[in-house]
Amino acid sequence: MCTGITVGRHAVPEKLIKKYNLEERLIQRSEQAEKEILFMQRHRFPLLPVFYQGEVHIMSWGNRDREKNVPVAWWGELSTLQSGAWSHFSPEPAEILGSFGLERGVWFQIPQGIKGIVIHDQRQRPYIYMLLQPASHYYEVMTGYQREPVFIGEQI
Amino acid sequence: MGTSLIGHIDSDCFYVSCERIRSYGLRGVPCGVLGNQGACVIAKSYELKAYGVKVGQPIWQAKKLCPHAVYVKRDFRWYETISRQLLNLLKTLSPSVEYYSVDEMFFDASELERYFDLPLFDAAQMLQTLVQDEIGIPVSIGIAPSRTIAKLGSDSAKPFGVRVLDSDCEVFLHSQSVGELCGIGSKSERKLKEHNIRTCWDYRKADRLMIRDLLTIKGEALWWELRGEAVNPIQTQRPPHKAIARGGSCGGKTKDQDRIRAWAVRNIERLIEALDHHQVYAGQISLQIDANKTALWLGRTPLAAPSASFRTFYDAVMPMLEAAPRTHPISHMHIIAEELTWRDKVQKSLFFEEPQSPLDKLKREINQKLGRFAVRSAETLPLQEIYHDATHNYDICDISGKMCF
Repeated sequence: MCTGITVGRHAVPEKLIKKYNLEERLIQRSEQAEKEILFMQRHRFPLLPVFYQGEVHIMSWGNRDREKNVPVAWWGELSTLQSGAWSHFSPEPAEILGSFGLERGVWFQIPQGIKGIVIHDQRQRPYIYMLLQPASHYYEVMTGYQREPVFIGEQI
Repeated sequence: MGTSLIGHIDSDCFYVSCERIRSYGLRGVPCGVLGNQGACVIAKSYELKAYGVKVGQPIWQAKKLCPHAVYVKRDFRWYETISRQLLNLLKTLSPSVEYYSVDEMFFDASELERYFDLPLFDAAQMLQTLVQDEIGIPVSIGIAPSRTIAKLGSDSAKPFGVRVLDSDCEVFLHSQSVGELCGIGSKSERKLKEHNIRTCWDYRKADRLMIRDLLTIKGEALWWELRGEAVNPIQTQRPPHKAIARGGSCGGKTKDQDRIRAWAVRNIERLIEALDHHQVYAGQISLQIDANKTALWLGRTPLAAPSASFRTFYDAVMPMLEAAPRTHPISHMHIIAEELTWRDKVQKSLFFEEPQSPLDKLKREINQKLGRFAVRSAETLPLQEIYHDATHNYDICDISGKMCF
């Protein structure tokens, strides 16, 4: 699955950058390049930038804690979601913001964003799960992985 | 012919520049464009080049050299759009423009000064700025009395430079190796070095007849060009093709006969489309299949009459495919139409079938209306991955009118 994304610094409101201390995650691929905020699955507190209910949020990327009544996972399979298997969690659609994604060491462009679902725990805290689908031939050749995120607008 | 000044405009890292037009986030980022269905780098930005990544390098090697580079999928349809914008812009300020390749054009620069009302160098810089502002791509420009010197000038001015040269440009020609000359390959370079001709200035000073003996009339043309004589004129229209080929990678090595046949049929369909575009029929069909970048098989079948019929091509190609050795997995395949004749000049015959059947015509009309490959042979169905990805519907060779690749 996609193990990291970046989003342009300008795409995240300043108050969220301060609240979640995102300055620490700033990267720049070259001196002339735009600054990006890095969101990695391997971060101690994995987060993702999400467009949900009309505004940008920073949410927990999946859940690692078995105490919480949300799935212990990072992602959800699109076909599983469509089968209704997640319906008792009341998933809501959301859009994960991203400029570039990382898969097996290859950074690729995210054209318009990635589809995700938001699930709330017993304390109404939101968690974002990235949706995955079988990879296109191109994606599989490029990254060597058989699953790809559900991209908005097009399948790369 | 007849112009005293020839300009050469060359886009800097063209494919990447095109991607940067529509994706602001790619600006300044080390960026590679992937071809061969995502397997290798076909274009790179200067930032990526600085890490030693080369064109043709597999993605797994490139990601090691520059782990933070970003890779994007090639989109030749978009590159053509930008390329034609550049062509149209040049046509507004030059009386003749040659569409040399998707990212390079030659133009008559004799009116450039008058157009911008500036000295030549400043006018060339204005043109560079105009292209950047209007189209959004950085270009390098060379202006000289001949196209060979103009091209040397723009190549040496890269990235985003301008070089104006006259026929008496000794210092510049001293600095350019003969290997930089368009038309001098490694074999010719070796021959020239045996005669102690290492720089373009050495070439220019060499004996004309000796150059002609070594490198034929094309070498002699370069010799004249380096002296500022424009013997290779700007060509505003592409000369007729001697052959048209369609093919390329088979999406990895394969011995699967169903996939090999499917590739052959897809390439036949693409070839017929190209013949339709150029309004020609083929008198002979060749099939070349490669394994590990070496030609494994080359078959040739003359046709009974000039044709652009799917059935005729299929009947010519399939026996050649059957006859090809099956010991090695196939990596590339090309189907080549030769002995081309214009459609309006073909001799009608009572005894042979029509060059195209009603089915061919119907297929063409539907595909023109609904999109390429909307109707296609069922034999291409094993190539599902190709049809699931619309970017495979368009290739660099589908960009018509340019002189070379």
